[in-house]
Amino acid sequence: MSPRAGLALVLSLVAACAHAATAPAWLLEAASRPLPPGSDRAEAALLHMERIVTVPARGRIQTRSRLALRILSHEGEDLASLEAPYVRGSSEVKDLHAWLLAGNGAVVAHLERKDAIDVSDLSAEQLYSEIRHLAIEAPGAKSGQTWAYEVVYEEDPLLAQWSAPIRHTLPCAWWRFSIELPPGFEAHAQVPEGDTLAADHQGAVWSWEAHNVPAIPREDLAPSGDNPAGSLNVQAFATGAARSGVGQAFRSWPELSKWLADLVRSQAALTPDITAQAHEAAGDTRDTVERIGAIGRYVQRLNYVSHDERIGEGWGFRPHDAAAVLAAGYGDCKDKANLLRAMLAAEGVQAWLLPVFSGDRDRVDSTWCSPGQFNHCITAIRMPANYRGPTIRSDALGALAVFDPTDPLTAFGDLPRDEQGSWGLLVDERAGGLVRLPEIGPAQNQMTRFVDASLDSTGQLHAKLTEHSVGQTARAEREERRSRREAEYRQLLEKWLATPGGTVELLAVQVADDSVRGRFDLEARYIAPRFARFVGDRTLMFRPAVTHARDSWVPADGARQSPIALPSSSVAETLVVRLPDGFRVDESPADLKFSSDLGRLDVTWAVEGGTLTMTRRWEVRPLTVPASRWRDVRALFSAYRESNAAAVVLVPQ
Amino acid sequence: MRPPGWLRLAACGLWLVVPRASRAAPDWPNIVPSELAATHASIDPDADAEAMLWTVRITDAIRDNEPSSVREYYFRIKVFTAEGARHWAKQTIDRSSTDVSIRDLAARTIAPDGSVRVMDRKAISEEILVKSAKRGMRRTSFVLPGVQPGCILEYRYTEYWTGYDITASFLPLQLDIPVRRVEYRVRPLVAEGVNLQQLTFHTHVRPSDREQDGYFATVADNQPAFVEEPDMPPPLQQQGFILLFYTNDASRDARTFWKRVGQDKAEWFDAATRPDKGLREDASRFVAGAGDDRDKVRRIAEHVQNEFQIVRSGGKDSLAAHHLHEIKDARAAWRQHGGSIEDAELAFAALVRASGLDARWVMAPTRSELFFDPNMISENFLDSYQVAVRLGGRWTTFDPVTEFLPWDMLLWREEATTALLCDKDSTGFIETSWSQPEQSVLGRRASLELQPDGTLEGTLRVTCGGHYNAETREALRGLNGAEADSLLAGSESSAGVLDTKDVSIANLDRPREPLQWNAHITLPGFATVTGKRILLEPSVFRAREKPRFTASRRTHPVYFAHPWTELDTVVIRIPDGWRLEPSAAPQPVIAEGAGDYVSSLTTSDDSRSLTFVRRQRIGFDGAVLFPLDSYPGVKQLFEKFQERDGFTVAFSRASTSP
Repeated sequence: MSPRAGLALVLSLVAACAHAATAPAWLLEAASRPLPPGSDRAEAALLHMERIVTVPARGRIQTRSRLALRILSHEGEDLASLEAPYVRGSSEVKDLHAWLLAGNGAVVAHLERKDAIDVSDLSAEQLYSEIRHLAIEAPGAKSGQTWAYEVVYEEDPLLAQWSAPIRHTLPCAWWRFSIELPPGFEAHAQVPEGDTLAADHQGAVWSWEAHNVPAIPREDLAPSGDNPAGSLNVQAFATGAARSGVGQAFRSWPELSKWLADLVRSQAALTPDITAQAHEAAGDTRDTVERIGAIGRYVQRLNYVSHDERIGEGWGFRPHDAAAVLAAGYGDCKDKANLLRAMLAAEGVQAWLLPVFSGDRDRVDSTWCSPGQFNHCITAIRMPANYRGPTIRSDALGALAVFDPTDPLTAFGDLPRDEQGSWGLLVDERAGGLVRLPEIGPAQNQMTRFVDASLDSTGQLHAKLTEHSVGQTARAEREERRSRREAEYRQLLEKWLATPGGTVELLAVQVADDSVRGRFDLEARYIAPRFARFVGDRTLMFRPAVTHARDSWVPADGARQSPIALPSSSVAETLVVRLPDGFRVDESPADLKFSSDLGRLDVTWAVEGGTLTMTRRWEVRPLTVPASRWRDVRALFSAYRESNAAAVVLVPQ
Repeated sequence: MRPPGWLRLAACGLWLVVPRASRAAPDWPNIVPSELAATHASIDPDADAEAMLWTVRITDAIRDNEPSSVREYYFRIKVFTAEGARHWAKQTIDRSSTDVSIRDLAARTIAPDGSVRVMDRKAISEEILVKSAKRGMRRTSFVLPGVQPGCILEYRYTEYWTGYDITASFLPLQLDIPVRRVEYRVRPLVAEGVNLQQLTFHTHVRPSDREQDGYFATVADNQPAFVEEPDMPPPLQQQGFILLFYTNDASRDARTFWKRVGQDKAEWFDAATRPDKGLREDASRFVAGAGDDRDKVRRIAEHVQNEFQIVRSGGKDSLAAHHLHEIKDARAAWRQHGGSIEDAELAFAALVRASGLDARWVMAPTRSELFFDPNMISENFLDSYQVAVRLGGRWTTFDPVTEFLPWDMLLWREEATTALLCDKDSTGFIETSWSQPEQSVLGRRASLELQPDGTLEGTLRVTCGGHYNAETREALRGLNGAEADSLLAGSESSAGVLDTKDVSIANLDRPREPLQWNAHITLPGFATVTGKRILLEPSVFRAREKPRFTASRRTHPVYFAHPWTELDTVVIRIPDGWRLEPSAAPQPVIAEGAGDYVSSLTTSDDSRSLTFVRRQRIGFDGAVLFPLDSYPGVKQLFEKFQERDGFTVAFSRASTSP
């Protein structure tokens, strides 16, 4: 039985535990609120969302979390559930109540902590995790009903920082965050730009409130919605003599960097085993850059397995001892980054941990000094003068190369695409701070494609496709190949090469994958039987753009609300088609040129001596632009689509 | 599967872990040099890893009136690629918290040079995955040390089971990597009147003729990796596995077993559906003037559909909510004109009998997970039912109480299955009825205006008949208006960029009638505009589809849930100043016993519009399963369909010649 199946089984028991009770006053008030604007197109609407934090001078911090939502559709019924997270050993759910109210406000079900099931958040790549949650599902929730809960958490103080997202995927009628601090402390808040919050300060309590908060729109290419820049961020600072009882707060990135440096300092101690392995991995070369690259690749090859413990004490930011990771032969991102740091030290090369956020280059808010902003850790390395790859710049430490030892598909000297251009935190006791990761230019991420083809008089195309990819484009190709069996990869190519309504017979496929140099070459020979179609008896028509992007994207029509995070792309294509004897080109598309700060498209067509040549250069820059640029984004991608649809018409000579 | 009756009665027994004698850890089996030296899988050279040996020893017993089982596992995996190393370095074992415990977990990694790294105890983690007041699940995770391509991994552990889950065991014979040898050794528990049944599915095994130390062995060699493919039968129908289950039925012979089951059910059916005066009078009224026996059945079925209140959630409380009582037979059900689904089926059968026709109860399987075979001797495989009526000398099965289907259609998963006709004297297996492609029509009717920039815009009506009606209504159940619109509009997204607005749904309140939805649609830039021409594929809703079958080789048969027809009528208004160049519709495609495709192209009298009609049918005479050796033909058939759907017409400027 899978864990998911087990969960469903156990959840079904919850219904039997439900019993009626009276709803609390806050819920009755929430249930009577009018729906917020935008509810007409939502599956549910938030009526009440509240977090009440109480920080004592000593002891555990208490957080009371309240939510009420009105279910507005069948899909919204799935939202009538609760996951109350906690970290075993450092936090707990002290109290939990959930209610399902009928349309008239009567309590249909009242669930308590004893009705919840306790679920581990262990993922497939984790050996152990202290993170768990209590889960409850409403028994038979229906559209029109109100689902609500109140959860009381208690946690050991680690960070005196709170980040409360204001906008959610549902519209919200009433939102509030409040914090009560002990004497000698005051709250410092950062309010997101553009959000109107009513702030209040009464004695030891600070609060912020918002009404009728619109939902985060669900749009393609949007940065993640719950980012810190869209949250109320609060820190508690001591007004007088510093005391540590309420947890850590940070006034600057260097201050946070020092705290992390202290936490990890003892974890990269050199041992004879580390030194021996570093020498062995580096090989015989005397070139320091090559030795660093070889050690980096050794660490990349170690299997990724996470084993987090003592998270409540800050060990979630602290790697395991490098010697232990080397002995075990596996680790998570910070373990690998730290082992690499130790192995490089054995070679006399200095390196630093560099926490980043993986998955969204725009997510880290440079004004919010919190370690919670990062979900991944890579390595910054001081390179010798002959290193020519991309670097970050630290005022104190100079130019440093960055390397992700967790991503086995990205070559040394390159950086995963979603980390490029993002903020990272250089961890150093004295010289640490926030640094901007390099953006690697289109030329280093390019795909060059050449198709040499012959079209016969039946419309059949015989073609040889050659692709050379480098950098992150090569990485994507590499992943596409390595994650599939050969037969599956061939099917993928066949589907991609088949023009709409056509088929492809793949004759041969050859792949050359050089992950050390970050290159990936593909050569495919194929036949497309109905590549050109007869229109009537004598006219042949075909669309020469035989190879459109594998994941070609069409921007939707209509208004745009979110910023647009453009995916970088750089493809240079040449297609040469020898035309069938007895036919001549009656119509061919006009050249197409489009250029803006977002990207460019150049398409040319030429017919000479019975051969048609199409060249296309397509480039999208990795920019995040405001919603007001949606029209420009559409124009760029529409031009690309137009070039895919362009047709050539042949008629008998 | 539920445990047999005697085990359910034994539930009051204590739950005890089976006592184990302490023993020294056994040595690992020898690894031959050729296994260490292997650079690719012997069965599939492309595989990331291969299970060289996989053994399971199962020892079942009764301890303190409680069934228990000791299951000793051993795996030897050869890793060939980095992906294989990543996948196999970490393993997990999930199990019930209360009924299964794990002991003696050990693992080691053998490098290609023969050096051995033994797994440290620190690399084992025990986690409660899910915990509630009554039950839970645990996970044991472990990481093998230093796994790299070329390594051999070995791990073993023992599970100790207590409770009734041991009474039915699913024992896989395939993994997602190739397996050179898998061996199950089973020592059944010994209890009076209890037999162990073993069924082997979809692969060749070598069972041992006699026991060794009380164990019967079943061995399978060279099992390919199990990989799913599109349009294949349900995975369980293709995967090799063994089903072990204990039964208190002494019959080991299928014929004897099913004869007894059929006789028992026939007696119950006869008593439950014996018509009384009321039934006879109503039946007589219903069939008065009927053309033939089939027409009699139709009339009765439609009366049941229209006059009998079916409470689909069943149960006493649900019936009470509809002011109905739990009843024992068809007579009482018909008197209150309402009841459960089974009550409705019995009422239908009783009315059929009352009309003078011969009817029998049919125990039917569903084929959504596994195709039934009479050698699968357990009633649990026949978990549905129909009513067979003798028409024209042969049995025809009916199930008129389904929610969304006409009177003469069965749920797709019950069509054309081998089902048990229950009869006092001549119980036997029959094939249930099946539908024809014409009974499940997906019809699209579009009236579109072609604009000079290639955009098509106009109205679309989609009609979902038969099984399409049931599928669409199931999918729409409970959705709000916006969600339903989005679902329906998305169903035609293969046409390309399709903007849909003003979606309306018809026939929602007539569940067995074909569902219809209408919309205003726009297909921006659908046609290609060149300098002198507009080029357009009139099969608007299929022309842009990617090929359904691309693989040149295939592992599994091709399987569709039910026969179907697609019937499209596309009327295109030609823009002013343009005219249609001479064109003829594509030639038809006819594949005997499988499907066909016909189309036509006509123009209006004023030449201002063209009408393209296409009809594609699949599944003549219920044929929905195409054996592996027919795959090239099936692929070719769909390619021919696709070729026809790519048919292109040209419009040229009215004032010029092309």
